[in-house]
Amino acid sequence: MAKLSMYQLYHYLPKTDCEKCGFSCMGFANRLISRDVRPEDCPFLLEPEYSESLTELNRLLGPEVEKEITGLIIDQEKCNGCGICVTVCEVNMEKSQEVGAGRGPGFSDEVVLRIDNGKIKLVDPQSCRRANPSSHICRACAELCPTKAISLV
Amino acid sequence: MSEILYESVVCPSCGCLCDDIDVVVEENRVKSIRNVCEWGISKFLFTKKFTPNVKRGRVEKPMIREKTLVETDYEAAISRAVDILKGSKKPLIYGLTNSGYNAQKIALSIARRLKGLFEPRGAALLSSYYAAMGDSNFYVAPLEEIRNNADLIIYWGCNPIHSTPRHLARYSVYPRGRCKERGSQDRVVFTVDVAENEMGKLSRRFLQVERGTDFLVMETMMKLLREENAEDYKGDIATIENMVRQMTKVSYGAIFFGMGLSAKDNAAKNIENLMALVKELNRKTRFVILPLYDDFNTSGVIQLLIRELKSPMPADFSGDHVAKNSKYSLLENLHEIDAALVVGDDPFWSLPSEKSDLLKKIPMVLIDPYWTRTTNKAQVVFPTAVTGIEAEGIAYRMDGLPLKLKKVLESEYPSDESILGDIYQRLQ
Ligand code: SF4
Ligand code: SF4
Ligand code: SF4
Ligand code: SF4
Repeated sequence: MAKLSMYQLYHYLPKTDCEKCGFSCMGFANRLISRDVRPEDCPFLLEPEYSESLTELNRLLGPEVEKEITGLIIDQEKCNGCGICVTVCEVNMEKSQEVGAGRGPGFSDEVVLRIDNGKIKLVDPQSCRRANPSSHICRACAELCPTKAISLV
Repeated sequence: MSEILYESVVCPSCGCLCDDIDVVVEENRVKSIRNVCEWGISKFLFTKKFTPNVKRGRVEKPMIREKTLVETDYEAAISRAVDILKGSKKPLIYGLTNSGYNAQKIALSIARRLKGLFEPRGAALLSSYYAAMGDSNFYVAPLEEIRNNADLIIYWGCNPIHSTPRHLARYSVYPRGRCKERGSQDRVVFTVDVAENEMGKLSRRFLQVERGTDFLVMETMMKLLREENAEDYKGDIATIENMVRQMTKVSYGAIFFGMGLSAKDNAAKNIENLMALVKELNRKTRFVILPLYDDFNTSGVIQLLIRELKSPMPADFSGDHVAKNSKYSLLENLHEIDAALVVGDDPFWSLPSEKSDLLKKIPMVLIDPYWTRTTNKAQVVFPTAVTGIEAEGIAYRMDGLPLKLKKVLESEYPSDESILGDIYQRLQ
């Protein structure tokens, strides 16, 4: 997939430069790319008339975040929520012993992977081993997923 | 309206009964839900299994058949149901694997009062299993014990990825256990099934068998264990030899079997041989065996039969004996019954047509939250709350552990337990 451009994202913003977010719309787009802000930080994007723009921005940004930091590509369509990746992820286990023993993470446990609405979600890409160059390269979730819902770039 | 968070809810979908589901409810709808698999979420959203965006049609009003099904009030439906059941000489009470324990209990009382037959769905396979377990004094191993100890997991005639999606991650292959600290790296997986599927990829060995001939594989394995000649087996003998060699080397093996073993009416034969195989294996090492239930409370209804009738077999209350349990599935004698009460099951989908055709000829009372292929064949239809989501209840996990099911949504429909209770009252 081609790298995201600021202009591509700007296209979906209100383009009013109201500065409610603290920047101009272009500045906001810039910070979207660097992941310093989320599309939801623009109050107008939460209004119904921008719901399509918001979805599109999140679609463009969502998987990209994960991919850029971790190299993991998640295809939610294929995932059946079996939770194997959640159980085998060692970072998950470090954060919660019970998760390593098969139990789903608690509602407020901070984990890397969890099952949300029946599908896998990389909730904290920053904590994934792959996001941290000093630790060994981990591929457990992608390797053990039975539906091939997780792959590596 | 504000959000309500229900933590550690039990998922009422398959026999795993995962008890770690967090549900956020807003305006009496599930807004978001964590830890539940795709099969479980379909249940919470009232959608088609594995298709969370396709709604299932609910039965909305009690209905009775005039020429077609017409809506009626609850009282009229109860009266018609009671008339049908009272007028029957040999009614069949069937299904019940998706009901809470108390509802199952009332259904059994109804069968007893009517001198009828009582058969849970899938009984042919499961009752034989429990009977064999009793005969050989085996105990049903808790899933936690398997997770802590098993170094060989065998799935036989089932695909857990479809029937019980979280089973692999929670209890068998992937979780780290007390003596299996590295999880799946400390375990070996075998799968025996009719066609290679996703399980093939994660299994060390995949043995393909011809549908309905599993008992031959078991026989062959036993021969090999006894170091007898097994050359007359026509299938993949090399894989079987390999599997057997490994099976004797492990310290704790667990076999999970599923409905695949009831193919071609060979359930009894398959179970007999499988139990004999487990017995043989236990001479050399430790092996346990458990059924993999795709309905959430199959275990409960079997426990009920064992508790009340001291036998897991389908119950036949007709004739002089109080409880004359039949050896095989009562559905073999479907032509003898003259009315049916079906609870939470869709026999026109789940039974082979030669059996369901016989059901077409008799009046049927149906209690089910959803429209199914069976709805239009019934004389009386009751809408009902979904147990474990819209009504409380008790369910037994596949290894027999009782768990409390919560009610997280309000429903205008009565629970199946209260409908069955009203029918039972009127039979006095
Ligand atoms: S709040 Fe939204 S509309 Fe206003 S400047 Fe920022 S991005 Fe543009
Ligand atoms: S790559 Fe490793 S650390 Fe990262 S989410 Fe997957 S299992 Fe966890
Ligand atoms: S991504 Fe794969 S392993 Fe993880 S829950 Fe989905 S199907 Fe299971
Ligand atoms: S494995 Fe079964 S009980 Fe567990 S969440 Fe999935 S459907 Fe529900």
